[in-house]
Amino acid sequence: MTERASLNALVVFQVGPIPIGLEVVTTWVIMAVLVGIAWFGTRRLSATQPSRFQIILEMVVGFLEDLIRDVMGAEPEVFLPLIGTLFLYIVTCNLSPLIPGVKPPTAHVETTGALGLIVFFTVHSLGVRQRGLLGYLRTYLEPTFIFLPLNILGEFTRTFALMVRLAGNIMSHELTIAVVIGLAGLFVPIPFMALSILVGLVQAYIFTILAAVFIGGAMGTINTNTP
Amino acid sequence: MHIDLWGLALQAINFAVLAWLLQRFLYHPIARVVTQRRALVETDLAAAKEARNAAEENRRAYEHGIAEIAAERERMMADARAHIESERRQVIESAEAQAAVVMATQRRQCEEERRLAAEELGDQAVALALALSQKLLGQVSGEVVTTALLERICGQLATEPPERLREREPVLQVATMPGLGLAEQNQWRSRLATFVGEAVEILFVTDESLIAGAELRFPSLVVSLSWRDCLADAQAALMPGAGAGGVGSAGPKATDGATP
Repeated sequence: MTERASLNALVVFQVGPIPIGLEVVTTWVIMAVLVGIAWFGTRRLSATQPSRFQIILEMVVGFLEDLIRDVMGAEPEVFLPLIGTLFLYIVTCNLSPLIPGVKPPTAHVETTGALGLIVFFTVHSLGVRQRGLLGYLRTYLEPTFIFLPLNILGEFTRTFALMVRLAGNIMSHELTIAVVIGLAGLFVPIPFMALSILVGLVQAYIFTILAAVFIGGAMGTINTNTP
Repeated sequence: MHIDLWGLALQAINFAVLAWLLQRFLYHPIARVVTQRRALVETDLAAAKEARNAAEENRRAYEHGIAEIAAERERMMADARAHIESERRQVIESAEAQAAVVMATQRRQCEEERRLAAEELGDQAVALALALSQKLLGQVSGEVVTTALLERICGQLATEPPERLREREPVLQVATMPGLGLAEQNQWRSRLATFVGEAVEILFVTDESLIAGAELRFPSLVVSLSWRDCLADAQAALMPGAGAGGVGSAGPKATDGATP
Protein backbone atom coordinates (compact mmCIF):
# COMPACT_ATOMS: atom_id res chain seq x y z
CA MET A 1 0.00 0.00 0.00
CA THR A 2 1.64 3.21 -1.23
CA GLU A 3 0.67 6.78 -0.56
CA ARG A 4 -0.57 8.79 -3.45
CA ALA A 5 -0.10 12.43 -4.18
CA SER A 6 -3.69 13.07 -3.28
CA LEU A 7 -4.49 14.05 0.30
CA ASN A 8 -4.15 10.93 2.44
CA ALA A 9 -4.87 8.78 -0.64
CA LEU A 10 -3.59 5.24 -0.47
CA VAL A 11 -3.13 2.92 -3.45
CA VAL A 12 -4.24 -0.54 -2.48
CA PHE A 13 -3.14 -2.21 -5.63
CA GLN A 14 -2.45 -1.34 -9.24
CA VAL A 15 -3.91 -2.76 -12.42
CA GLY A 16 -1.42 -1.96 -15.12
CA PRO A 17 -1.06 1.78 -15.16
CA ILE A 18 -4.22 2.26 -13.14
CA PRO A 19 -3.72 2.69 -9.42
CA ILE A 20 -6.61 1.38 -7.38
CA GLY A 21 -6.96 3.58 -4.34
CA LEU A 22 -8.52 2.80 -0.99
CA GLU A 23 -11.54 4.98 -1.73
CA VAL A 24 -12.22 2.92 -4.86
CA VAL A 25 -12.02 -0.33 -2.96
CA THR A 26 -14.24 1.11 -0.22
CA THR A 27 -16.68 2.22 -2.90
CA TRP A 28 -16.77 -1.32 -4.28
CA VAL A 29 -17.57 -2.64 -0.85
CA ILE A 30 -20.27 -0.01 -0.38
CA MET A 31 -21.65 -0.86 -3.80
CA ALA A 32 -21.72 -4.52 -2.87
CA VAL A 33 -23.47 -3.74 0.40
CA LEU A 34 -26.07 -1.50 -1.24
CA VAL A 35 -26.75 -3.91 -4.07
CA GLY A 36 -26.81 -6.82 -1.65
CA ILE A 37 -29.32 -5.04 0.57
CA ALA A 38 -31.40 -4.14 -2.47
CA TRP A 39 -31.31 -7.68 -3.78
CA PHE A 40 -32.10 -9.18 -0.38
CA GLY A 41 -34.93 -6.78 0.22
CA THR A 42 -36.53 -7.13 -3.19
CA ARG A 43 -36.19 -10.84 -3.85
CA ARG A 44 -39.61 -11.64 -2.34
CA LEU A 45 -41.68 -8.61 -2.88
CA SER A 46 -45.37 -8.77 -2.10
CA ALA A 47 -47.98 -6.21 -3.00
CA THR A 48 -50.39 -7.38 -0.33
CA GLN A 49 -48.22 -8.65 2.53
CA PRO A 50 -44.93 -6.77 2.48
CA SER A 51 -42.19 -7.66 4.96
CA ARG A 52 -40.76 -5.10 7.35
CA PHE A 53 -37.60 -4.82 5.27
CA GLN A 54 -39.65 -4.30 2.14
CA ILE A 55 -41.60 -1.59 3.92
CA ILE A 56 -38.35 0.14 4.90
CA LEU A 57 -37.08 -0.01 1.31
CA GLU A 58 -40.40 1.32 0.04
CA MET A 59 -40.21 4.17 2.54
CA VAL A 60 -36.66 5.03 1.37
CA VAL A 61 -37.62 4.93 -2.29
CA GLY A 62 -40.79 6.88 -1.56
CA PHE A 63 -38.79 9.52 0.28
CA LEU A 64 -36.47 9.88 -2.73
CA GLU A 65 -39.40 10.06 -5.15
CA ASP A 66 -41.07 12.73 -3.03
CA LEU A 67 -37.79 14.66 -2.90
CA ILE A 68 -37.48 14.61 -6.68
CA ARG A 69 -41.15 15.49 -7.12
CA ASP A 70 -41.03 18.36 -4.66
CA VAL A 71 -37.66 19.85 -5.71
CA MET A 72 -37.71 19.28 -9.45
CA GLY A 73 -41.46 19.39 -10.06
CA ALA A 74 -41.18 16.40 -12.36
CA GLU A 75 -42.12 12.75 -12.30
CA PRO A 76 -39.40 10.83 -10.44
CA GLU A 77 -39.11 7.72 -12.63
CA VAL A 78 -36.48 9.21 -14.98
CA PHE A 79 -34.39 10.92 -12.30
CA LEU A 80 -34.63 8.32 -9.55
CA PRO A 81 -31.55 6.29 -10.64
CA LEU A 82 -29.34 9.40 -10.57
CA ILE A 83 -30.78 11.40 -7.65
CA GLY A 84 -31.64 8.37 -5.55
CA THR A 85 -28.26 6.74 -6.09
CA LEU A 86 -26.53 10.00 -5.26
CA PHE A 87 -28.30 10.20 -1.92
CA LEU A 88 -27.92 6.53 -0.98
CA TYR A 89 -24.28 6.37 -2.05
CA ILE A 90 -23.27 9.58 -0.30
CA VAL A 91 -25.17 8.68 2.86
CA THR A 92 -23.53 5.27 2.95
CA CYS A 93 -20.13 6.76 2.31
CA ASN A 94 -20.59 9.44 4.94
CA LEU A 95 -21.75 6.94 7.56
CA SER A 96 -19.08 4.34 6.74
CA PRO A 97 -16.58 5.79 9.24
CA LEU A 98 -18.88 4.56 11.99
CA ILE A 99 -17.28 1.20 11.25
CA PRO A 100 -13.83 1.33 12.81
CA GLY A 101 -11.00 1.48 10.29
CA VAL A 102 -13.15 2.52 7.34
CA LYS A 103 -12.29 5.74 5.56
CA PRO A 104 -15.21 7.48 3.85
CA PRO A 105 -14.77 7.70 0.07
CA THR A 106 -16.51 11.05 0.09
CA ALA A 107 -13.60 12.47 2.05
CA HIS A 108 -11.60 12.18 -1.19
CA VAL A 109 -12.04 14.81 -3.79
CA GLU A 110 -11.80 12.19 -6.54
CA THR A 111 -15.09 10.70 -5.37
CA THR A 112 -16.94 13.96 -4.93
CA GLY A 113 -15.34 15.22 -8.14
CA ALA A 114 -16.68 12.21 -10.00
CA LEU A 115 -20.13 12.84 -8.58
CA GLY A 116 -19.87 16.53 -9.42
CA LEU A 117 -18.84 15.79 -12.98
CA ILE A 118 -21.70 13.37 -13.40
CA VAL A 119 -24.12 16.01 -12.16
CA PHE A 120 -22.43 18.60 -14.42
CA PHE A 121 -22.76 16.55 -17.58
CA THR A 122 -26.26 15.41 -16.63
CA VAL A 123 -27.37 19.00 -16.16
CA HIS A 124 -26.16 20.09 -19.56
CA SER A 125 -27.22 17.00 -21.44
CA LEU A 126 -30.76 17.10 -20.03
CA GLY A 127 -30.91 20.88 -20.54
CA VAL A 128 -30.02 20.52 -24.20
CA ARG A 129 -32.42 17.61 -24.61
CA GLN A 130 -35.24 19.51 -22.96
CA ARG A 131 -34.71 22.99 -24.48
CA GLY A 132 -32.69 22.28 -27.62
CA LEU A 133 -29.08 23.44 -28.10
CA LEU A 134 -29.91 27.04 -28.95
CA GLY A 135 -32.60 27.25 -26.39
CA TYR A 136 -30.28 25.96 -23.73
CA LEU A 137 -27.45 28.25 -24.75
CA ARG A 138 -29.89 31.14 -24.74
CA THR A 139 -30.39 30.58 -21.01
CA TYR A 140 -26.83 31.80 -20.50
CA LEU A 141 -27.87 35.20 -21.84
CA GLU A 142 -30.49 35.63 -19.15
CA PRO A 143 -31.42 37.96 -17.77
CA THR A 144 -29.15 39.93 -20.22
CA PHE A 145 -26.18 39.03 -22.36
CA ILE A 146 -23.95 40.85 -19.89
CA PHE A 147 -24.42 37.90 -17.53
CA LEU A 148 -22.98 35.43 -20.06
CA PRO A 149 -19.48 35.28 -18.50
CA LEU A 150 -20.94 35.09 -15.04
CA ASN A 151 -23.35 32.34 -16.04
CA ILE A 152 -20.54 30.32 -17.67
CA LEU A 153 -18.32 30.84 -14.66
CA GLY A 154 -21.20 29.95 -12.36
CA GLU A 155 -21.65 26.60 -14.09
CA PHE A 156 -18.12 25.60 -13.16
CA THR A 157 -17.96 27.21 -9.76
CA ARG A 158 -21.17 25.65 -8.50
CA THR A 159 -20.00 22.23 -9.63
CA PHE A 160 -16.66 22.84 -8.01
CA ALA A 161 -18.37 24.05 -4.85
CA LEU A 162 -20.56 20.99 -4.91
CA MET A 163 -17.65 18.59 -4.85
CA VAL A 164 -15.42 20.60 -2.53
CA ARG A 165 -18.19 21.23 -0.01
CA LEU A 166 -18.89 17.54 0.43
CA ALA A 167 -15.30 16.44 0.43
CA GLY A 168 -14.18 19.26 2.69
CA ASN A 169 -16.89 18.68 5.27
CA ILE A 170 -16.35 14.94 5.49
CA MET A 171 -12.56 15.17 5.41
CA SER A 172 -12.47 17.91 8.02
CA HIS A 173 -14.82 15.96 10.23
CA GLU A 174 -12.59 12.90 9.93
CA LEU A 175 -9.55 14.96 10.80
CA THR A 176 -11.35 16.47 13.78
CA ILE A 177 -12.30 13.07 15.13
CA ALA A 178 -8.76 11.80 14.56
CA VAL A 179 -7.29 14.78 16.41
CA VAL A 180 -9.76 14.37 19.31
CA ILE A 181 -9.00 10.67 19.55
CA GLY A 182 -5.28 11.44 19.58
CA LEU A 183 -5.69 14.03 22.31
CA ALA A 184 -8.48 12.72 24.57
CA GLY A 185 -8.56 8.98 24.23
CA LEU A 186 -10.98 6.35 22.95
CA PHE A 187 -14.44 7.26 24.33
CA VAL A 188 -14.32 11.05 24.25
CA PRO A 189 -14.90 11.28 20.44
CA ILE A 190 -18.19 9.37 20.70
CA PRO A 191 -20.28 12.61 20.70
CA PHE A 192 -18.32 13.74 17.66
CA MET A 193 -19.06 10.44 15.97
CA ALA A 194 -22.77 10.95 16.72
CA LEU A 195 -22.42 14.38 15.24
CA SER A 196 -20.83 12.81 12.18
CA ILE A 197 -24.10 10.95 11.53
CA LEU A 198 -25.96 14.25 11.40
CA VAL A 199 -23.26 15.82 9.28
CA GLY A 200 -23.23 12.88 6.92
CA LEU A 201 -27.00 12.95 6.45
CA VAL A 202 -27.10 16.72 6.03
CA GLN A 203 -24.28 16.77 3.51
CA ALA A 204 -25.82 13.97 1.51
CA TYR A 205 -29.15 15.75 1.54
CA ILE A 206 -27.53 19.06 0.48
CA PHE A 207 -25.61 17.44 -2.35
CA THR A 208 -28.74 15.63 -3.56
CA ILE A 209 -30.94 18.70 -3.30
CA LEU A 210 -28.45 20.87 -5.14
CA ALA A 211 -28.06 18.28 -7.87
CA ALA A 212 -31.83 18.09 -8.26
CA VAL A 213 -32.09 21.87 -8.33
CA PHE A 214 -29.34 22.17 -10.99
CA ILE A 215 -30.93 19.53 -13.17
CA GLY A 216 -34.41 20.94 -12.74
CA GLY A 217 -33.18 24.45 -13.49
CA ALA A 218 -31.47 23.31 -16.65
CA MET A 219 -34.61 21.51 -17.80
CA GLY A 220 -36.79 24.46 -16.94
CA THR A 221 -39.00 22.50 -14.60
CA ILE A 222 -38.05 24.92 -11.80
CA ASN A 223 -36.99 28.57 -11.85
CA THR A 224 -33.58 28.83 -10.22
CA ASN A 225 -33.60 32.62 -10.49
CA THR A 226 -36.44 32.90 -8.06
CA PRO A 227 -35.06 33.87 -4.66
CA MET B 1 -4.50 20.04 -4.43
CA HIS B 2 -3.80 17.14 -6.76
CA ILE B 3 -6.64 15.13 -8.24
CA ASP B 4 -6.10 11.53 -9.27
CA LEU B 5 -7.81 11.34 -12.62
CA TRP B 6 -7.71 7.54 -12.59
CA GLY B 7 -9.44 7.54 -9.27
CA LEU B 8 -11.94 10.13 -10.46
CA ALA B 9 -12.73 8.09 -13.55
CA LEU B 10 -13.04 4.89 -11.57
CA GLN B 11 -15.39 6.52 -9.09
CA ALA B 12 -17.49 7.90 -11.93
CA ILE B 13 -17.67 4.45 -13.44
CA ASN B 14 -18.43 2.97 -10.06
CA PHE B 15 -21.28 5.42 -9.54
CA ALA B 16 -22.72 4.68 -12.95
CA VAL B 17 -22.56 0.97 -12.30
CA LEU B 18 -24.11 1.46 -8.86
CA ALA B 19 -26.91 3.51 -10.35
CA TRP B 20 -27.58 0.78 -12.91
CA LEU B 21 -27.50 -1.95 -10.29
CA LEU B 22 -29.79 -0.09 -7.93
CA GLN B 23 -32.14 0.60 -10.79
CA ARG B 24 -32.05 -3.11 -11.55
CA PHE B 25 -32.38 -4.43 -8.02
CA LEU B 26 -34.09 -1.65 -6.06
CA TYR B 27 -35.90 1.10 -7.88
CA HIS B 28 -37.52 -0.96 -10.58
CA PRO B 29 -38.74 -3.82 -8.32
CA ILE B 30 -40.01 -1.37 -5.74
CA ALA B 31 -41.74 0.70 -8.41
CA ARG B 32 -43.29 -2.44 -9.84
CA VAL B 33 -44.64 -3.65 -6.53
CA VAL B 34 -45.86 -0.17 -5.67
CA THR B 35 -47.61 -0.06 -9.01
CA GLN B 36 -49.16 -3.45 -8.32
CA ARG B 37 -50.28 -2.31 -4.89
CA ARG B 38 -51.66 0.89 -6.32
CA ALA B 39 -53.56 -1.17 -8.88
CA LEU B 40 -54.86 -3.39 -6.11
CA VAL B 41 -55.79 -0.37 -4.06
CA GLU B 42 -57.49 1.18 -7.05
CA THR B 43 -59.29 -2.09 -7.70
CA ASP B 44 -60.35 -2.25 -4.08
CA LEU B 45 -61.33 1.40 -4.18
CA ALA B 46 -63.33 0.77 -7.34
CA ALA B 47 -64.96 -2.23 -5.71
CA ALA B 48 -65.59 -0.19 -2.57
CA LYS B 49 -66.98 2.64 -4.67
CA GLU B 50 -69.15 0.19 -6.55
CA ALA B 51 -70.27 -1.33 -3.25
CA ARG B 52 -70.91 2.14 -1.90
CA ASN B 53 -72.89 3.03 -5.00
CA ALA B 54 -74.83 -0.21 -4.64
CA ALA B 55 -75.40 0.56 -0.99
CA GLU B 56 -76.45 4.07 -1.90
CA GLU B 57 -78.78 2.66 -4.53
CA ASN B 58 -80.17 0.24 -1.98
CA ARG B 59 -80.56 3.10 0.47
CA ARG B 60 -82.39 5.17 -2.11
CA ALA B 61 -84.57 2.19 -2.98
CA TYR B 62 -85.22 1.63 0.70
CA GLU B 63 -86.11 5.27 1.26
CA HIS B 64 -88.27 5.19 -1.86
CA GLY B 65 -89.99 2.08 -0.53
CA ILE B 66 -90.45 3.73 2.83
CA ALA B 67 -91.93 6.78 1.14
CA GLU B 68 -94.25 4.60 -0.93
CA ILE B 69 -95.28 2.68 2.15
CA ALA B 70 -95.92 5.93 3.97
CA ALA B 71 -97.98 7.24 1.06
CA GLU B 72 -99.87 3.95 0.85
CA ARG B 73 -100.44 4.08 4.60
CA GLU B 74 -101.72 7.65 4.35
CA ARG B 75 -103.98 6.69 1.47
CA MET B 76 -105.28 3.65 3.35
CA MET B 77 -105.75 5.74 6.46
CA ALA B 78 -107.68 8.32 4.46
CA ASP B 79 -109.80 5.59 2.87
CA ALA B 80 -110.39 4.00 6.24
CA ARG B 81 -111.32 7.36 7.75
CA ALA B 82 -113.69 8.07 4.88
CA HIS B 83 -115.18 4.57 5.17
CA ILE B 84 -115.54 4.91 8.92
CA GLU B 85 -117.09 8.34 8.50
CA SER B 86 -119.53 6.98 5.92
CA GLU B 87 -120.41 4.04 8.11
CA ARG B 88 -120.76 6.32 11.12
CA ARG B 89 -123.05 8.60 9.16
CA GLN B 90 -125.09 5.62 7.98
CA VAL B 91 -125.26 4.20 11.51
CA ILE B 92 -126.30 7.58 12.87
CA GLU B 93 -128.93 8.01 10.18
CA SER B 94 -130.19 4.47 10.72
CA ALA B 95 -130.21 4.99 14.48
CA GLU B 96 -132.01 8.28 14.07
CA ALA B 97 -134.56 6.66 11.76
CA GLN B 98 -135.03 3.76 14.18
CA ALA B 99 -135.25 6.20 17.06
CA ALA B 100 -137.86 8.20 15.16
CA VAL B 101 -139.82 5.02 14.46
CA VAL B 102 -139.51 3.91 18.07
CA MET B 103 -140.44 7.36 19.32
CA ALA B 104 -143.45 7.50 16.99
CA THR B 105 -144.49 4.02 18.07
CA GLN B 106 -143.98 4.86 21.70
CA ARG B 107 -145.78 8.12 21.24
CA ARG B 108 -148.72 6.30 19.67
CA GLN B 109 -148.65 3.73 22.42
CA CYS B 110 -148.54 6.50 24.99
CA GLU B 111 -151.42 8.22 23.29
CA GLU B 112 -153.36 4.97 23.19
CA GLU B 113 -152.53 4.15 26.78
CA ARG B 114 -153.40 7.66 27.83
CA ARG B 115 -156.63 7.43 25.93
CA LEU B 116 -157.37 4.02 27.44
CA ALA B 117 -156.40 5.30 30.86
CA ALA B 118 -158.64 8.32 30.37
CA GLU B 119 -161.46 6.09 29.22
CA GLU B 120 -160.88 3.70 32.09
CA LEU B 121 -160.68 6.61 34.45
CA GLY B 122 -163.88 7.98 32.94
CA ASP B 123 -165.52 4.57 33.24
CA GLN B 124 -164.35 4.28 36.79
CA ALA B 125 -165.67 7.78 37.44
CA VAL B 126 -168.98 6.89 35.82
CA ALA B 127 -169.12 3.59 37.68
CA LEU B 128 -168.30 5.40 40.89
CA ALA B 129 -170.89 8.03 40.11
CA LEU B 130 -173.46 5.36 39.31
CA ALA B 131 -172.61 3.48 42.46
CA LEU B 132 -172.87 6.64 44.47
CA SER B 133 -176.09 7.55 42.69
CA GLN B 134 -177.47 4.07 43.25
CA LYS B 135 -176.53 4.26 46.89
CA LEU B 136 -177.91 7.74 47.35
CA LEU B 137 -181.04 6.99 45.39
CA GLY B 138 -181.55 3.86 47.45
CA GLN B 139 -181.35 5.92 50.61
CA VAL B 140 -183.63 8.75 49.49
CA SER B 141 -186.19 6.71 47.54
CA GLY B 142 -189.37 5.54 49.11
CA GLU B 143 -192.99 4.75 48.54
CA VAL B 144 -193.64 8.17 47.10
CA VAL B 145 -191.16 7.57 44.30
CA THR B 146 -192.50 4.11 43.70
CA THR B 147 -196.04 5.39 43.59
CA ALA B 148 -195.09 8.12 41.19
CA LEU B 149 -193.32 5.68 38.92
CA LEU B 150 -196.30 3.31 39.03
CA GLU B 151 -198.43 6.23 38.03
CA ARG B 152 -196.20 6.82 35.07
CA ILE B 153 -196.38 3.13 34.14
CA CYS B 154 -200.11 3.29 34.32
CA GLY B 155 -200.04 6.37 32.16
CA GLN B 156 -197.97 4.41 29.67
CA LEU B 157 -200.35 1.48 29.81
CA ALA B 158 -203.23 3.82 29.20
CA THR B 159 -201.71 4.81 25.90
CA GLU B 160 -201.55 1.20 24.78
CA PRO B 161 -204.54 -0.31 22.93
CA PRO B 162 -206.70 -2.24 25.46
CA GLU B 163 -206.81 -5.37 23.34
CA ARG B 164 -203.07 -5.61 23.47
CA LEU B 165 -203.04 -5.94 27.29
CA ARG B 166 -206.42 -7.24 28.31
CA GLU B 167 -206.78 -10.95 29.04
CA ARG B 168 -203.54 -11.61 27.33
CA GLU B 169 -201.53 -13.05 30.17
CA PRO B 170 -202.85 -15.09 33.08
CA VAL B 171 -200.38 -13.78 35.64
CA LEU B 172 -198.95 -10.36 36.23
CA GLN B 173 -196.11 -9.96 38.70
CA VAL B 174 -195.63 -6.44 40.02
CA ALA B 175 -192.12 -5.90 41.41
CA THR B 176 -191.60 -2.76 43.47
CA MET B 177 -188.96 -1.26 45.67
CA PRO B 178 -189.72 -0.66 48.44
CA GLY B 179 -192.48 -3.10 48.94
CA LEU B 180 -196.09 -1.96 49.09
CA GLY B 181 -198.44 -2.41 51.99
CA LEU B 182 -201.59 -4.49 51.63
CA ALA B 183 -203.78 -1.47 51.20
CA GLU B 184 -201.61 -0.09 48.58
CA GLN B 185 -201.36 -3.49 46.92
CA ASN B 186 -205.14 -3.74 46.78
CA GLN B 187 -205.44 -0.22 45.48
CA TRP B 188 -202.91 -0.88 42.72
CA ARG B 189 -204.33 -4.35 41.95
CA SER B 190 -207.72 -2.80 41.22
CA ARG B 191 -206.11 -0.05 39.27
CA LEU B 192 -204.03 -2.44 37.11
CA ALA B 193 -207.04 -4.71 36.61
CA THR B 194 -208.63 -1.97 34.63
CA PHE B 195 -205.87 -2.39 32.11
CA VAL B 196 -205.28 -6.16 32.05
CA GLY B 197 -208.68 -7.39 33.01
CA GLU B 198 -210.13 -8.99 36.16
CA ALA B 199 -209.13 -12.50 35.25
CA VAL B 200 -205.46 -11.85 35.43
CA GLU B 201 -203.84 -12.82 38.73
CA ILE B 202 -201.78 -9.89 40.04
CA LEU B 203 -198.92 -10.68 42.46
CA PHE B 204 -196.76 -8.16 44.30
CA VAL B 205 -193.02 -8.81 45.03
CA THR B 206 -190.14 -6.69 46.31
CA ASP B 207 -187.03 -6.38 44.11
CA GLU B 208 -184.10 -4.46 45.63
CA SER B 209 -182.33 -4.29 42.31
CA LEU B 210 -184.86 -1.73 41.15
CA ILE B 211 -183.48 0.77 43.72
CA ALA B 212 -186.78 2.55 43.43
CA GLY B 213 -189.63 2.06 41.02
CA ALA B 214 -191.83 -0.71 39.71
CA GLU B 215 -191.79 -3.39 37.08
CA LEU B 216 -194.80 -5.15 35.57
CA ARG B 217 -193.73 -8.66 34.62
CA PHE B 218 -195.99 -10.56 32.33
CA PRO B 219 -194.77 -13.97 31.32
CA SER B 220 -193.97 -12.63 27.88
CA LEU B 221 -193.78 -8.94 28.55
CA VAL B 222 -192.01 -6.68 31.05
CA VAL B 223 -192.94 -3.04 31.58
CA SER B 224 -190.44 -1.35 33.80
CA LEU B 225 -189.79 2.13 35.18
CA SER B 226 -187.20 2.42 37.98
CA TRP B 227 -184.09 4.21 39.10
CA ARG B 228 -182.13 1.19 37.93
CA ASP B 229 -183.35 1.80 34.40
CA CYS B 230 -182.52 5.49 34.66
CA LEU B 231 -179.01 4.71 35.88
CA ALA B 232 -178.66 2.13 33.10
CA ASP B 233 -179.61 4.74 30.55
CA ALA B 234 -177.11 7.21 32.05
CA GLN B 235 -174.42 4.55 32.02
CA ALA B 236 -175.18 3.75 28.43
CA ALA B 237 -174.95 7.43 27.55
CA LEU B 238 -171.67 7.97 29.47
CA MET B 239 -170.07 4.58 28.70
CA PRO B 240 -171.13 3.54 25.22
CA GLY B 241 -168.99 0.38 25.27
CA ALA B 242 -170.13 -0.79 28.71
CA GLY B 243 -173.67 -1.88 27.69
CA ALA B 244 -176.74 -1.98 29.89
CA GLY B 245 -175.67 -3.83 32.96
CA GLY B 246 -178.59 -4.55 35.30
CA VAL B 247 -180.43 -1.22 35.19
CA GLY B 248 -183.38 -0.34 33.01
CA SER B 249 -184.27 2.65 30.91
CA ALA B 250 -185.50 5.94 32.29
CA GLY B 251 -188.97 5.64 30.76
CA PRO B 252 -191.38 2.73 31.03
CA LYS B 253 -190.02 -0.11 28.94
CA ALA B 254 -191.85 -2.96 27.37
CA THR B 255 -189.47 -5.75 26.53
CA ASP B 256 -191.27 -8.13 24.26
CA GLY B 257 -191.67 -8.34 20.52
CA ALA B 258 -195.10 -6.75 20.52
CA THR B 259 -194.39 -3.66 22.50
CA PRO B 260 -192.38 -0.84 20.97
